[in-house]
Amino acid sequence: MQDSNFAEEEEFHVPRLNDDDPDADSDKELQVAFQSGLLKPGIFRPITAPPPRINNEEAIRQKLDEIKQTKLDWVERLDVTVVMATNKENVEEPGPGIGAEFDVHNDFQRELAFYEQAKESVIIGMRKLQEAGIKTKRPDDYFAEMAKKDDHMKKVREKLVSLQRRREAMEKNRSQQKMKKYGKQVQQAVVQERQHKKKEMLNAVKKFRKGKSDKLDFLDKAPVKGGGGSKKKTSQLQQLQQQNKLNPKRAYRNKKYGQGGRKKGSKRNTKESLNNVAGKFKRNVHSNKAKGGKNKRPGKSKRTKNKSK
Amino acid sequence: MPRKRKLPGLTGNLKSKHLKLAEDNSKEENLKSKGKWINKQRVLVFTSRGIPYKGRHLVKDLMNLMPHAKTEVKMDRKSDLLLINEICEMRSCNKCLFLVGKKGRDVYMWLSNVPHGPSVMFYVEYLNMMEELKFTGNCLKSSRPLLSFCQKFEESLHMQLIKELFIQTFGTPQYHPKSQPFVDHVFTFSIMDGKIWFRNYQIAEENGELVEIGPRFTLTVARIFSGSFGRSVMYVNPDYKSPNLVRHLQRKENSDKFVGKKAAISDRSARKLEKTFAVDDTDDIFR
Repeated sequence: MQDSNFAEEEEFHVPRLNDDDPDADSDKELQVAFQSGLLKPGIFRPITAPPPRINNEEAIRQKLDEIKQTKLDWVERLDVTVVMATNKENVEEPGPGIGAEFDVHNDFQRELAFYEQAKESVIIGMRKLQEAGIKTKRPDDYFAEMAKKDDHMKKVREKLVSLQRRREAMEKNRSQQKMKKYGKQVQQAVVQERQHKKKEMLNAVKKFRKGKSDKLDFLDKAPVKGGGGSKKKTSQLQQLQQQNKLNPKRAYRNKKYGQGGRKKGSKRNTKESLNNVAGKFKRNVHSNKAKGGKNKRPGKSKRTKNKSK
Repeated sequence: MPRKRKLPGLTGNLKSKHLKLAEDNSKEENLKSKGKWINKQRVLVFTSRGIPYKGRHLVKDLMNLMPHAKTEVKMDRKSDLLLINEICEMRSCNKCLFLVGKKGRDVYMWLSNVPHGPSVMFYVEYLNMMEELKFTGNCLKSSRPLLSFCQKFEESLHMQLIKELFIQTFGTPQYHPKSQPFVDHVFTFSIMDGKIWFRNYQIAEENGELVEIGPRFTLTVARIFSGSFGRSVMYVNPDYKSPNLVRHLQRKENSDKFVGKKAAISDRSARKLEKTFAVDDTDDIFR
């Protein structure tokens, strides 16, 4: 009893072909048909009749009238009917997701269509609700149980945070890889430039030796002359040098011990150095000043921590 | 015993304090139920035995979102569907959402107006629970929803009937004792691809900014009956194919491929000649 109510197929009255069915084709009939050329050889499949179409509009209309809540106001029912954007006909610019372009299996387009429908009906509904004097926004101090509990919302938040973190890590990795690639390019360019210079120099020397030219100016020229098209690279080298220059300690030492100037007696004590026992660059051990410069590379644990961020 | 008794020696100050407290209470009460609860819809939401876990969670979600719903223990599969009418009567419900599980994977939903009908049988697909979907939206547990329908519901008579049933079932009646006095979410019903798609959004801003809450599911109309859980069939959806049939056709298609391959092999072996050239066996001996 129960199964007949549940099942779909059993309830249809499907006319079946029986042996004693007068409509069924007999063998003889088939033979005649074959001989006369009506029947072509091949595999034949019996045609199954489609399920009967039932659409008893009269009964449906009657039932609809029966259950309709005609006496109730709109505020009791809160229903809004709107035309979906996907079904709108006279849209000025039918972009993707509107009209014929709409694809149900495209998740994004489909969800957008639902969202648009809900949005439109909310705008209509809100206006109607305000007219009826029904509150739509709860006051901030009105606390009540929510549909999703706090622990559920916490899970949602955690998921969002982890997603964001993953995205950030990905971006960081990508930029690092880019930097690496660029660094490699620079290095290659420098090596090529050096080789090019060397080759030029050797060629010039060869020419000179064979007596093809009697100019020796390449010796002056070569170190000054940069390889063609590597302006960017030299500028980077210069940058590095500039960076070195910025180190005041180095600059001072260069000044003191480096090229130029009188060397004699430069390492002797002076009045100032004698008074300055700790030395110019020795840090005061007892001072609480932040350590700068000496160890810019953070410790191992810190580095791994930064890497995982 | 008199209902109100004047307390002797009540000072004016204390009196006013009491009054204030009472006022505060009444304010909250006023917010909750100012008017009269006219639209008395009560929905019984429950399932049959042998339902997949998703159906069970759907009941949980619906109970969460519908303050006017009641639930019942799972019904035995062997018992008659007409029994549901009696259960509804006992629980004084006039609407019923009954989920049926079949083969441990298919979910059907009966939506019925008890006791005089009509009732609709849907096939439920693409079922995602609130818990499973990590949406950021949230709403009050028992606030009233707006019900949004697409224009396609008006195009045919049976869809109008279904729309009416949806409004009466999913809409929370005004001034229902358990309901909250705000409207902060919207149920969306849209027809697309021959199915009814359900979505639930939170109304984040009054200008129509929405955040999805969940759950999500689609309903395919299988048939409509004139009575509650039975009687004559008023409508059969010609486009509806039962999942059994779909699976059967799929299997058959696959088996056709296999049968074809086997037939090709046997055909080839039948065409193969046993002897490719006429040779006399005795030729080797008498050379």
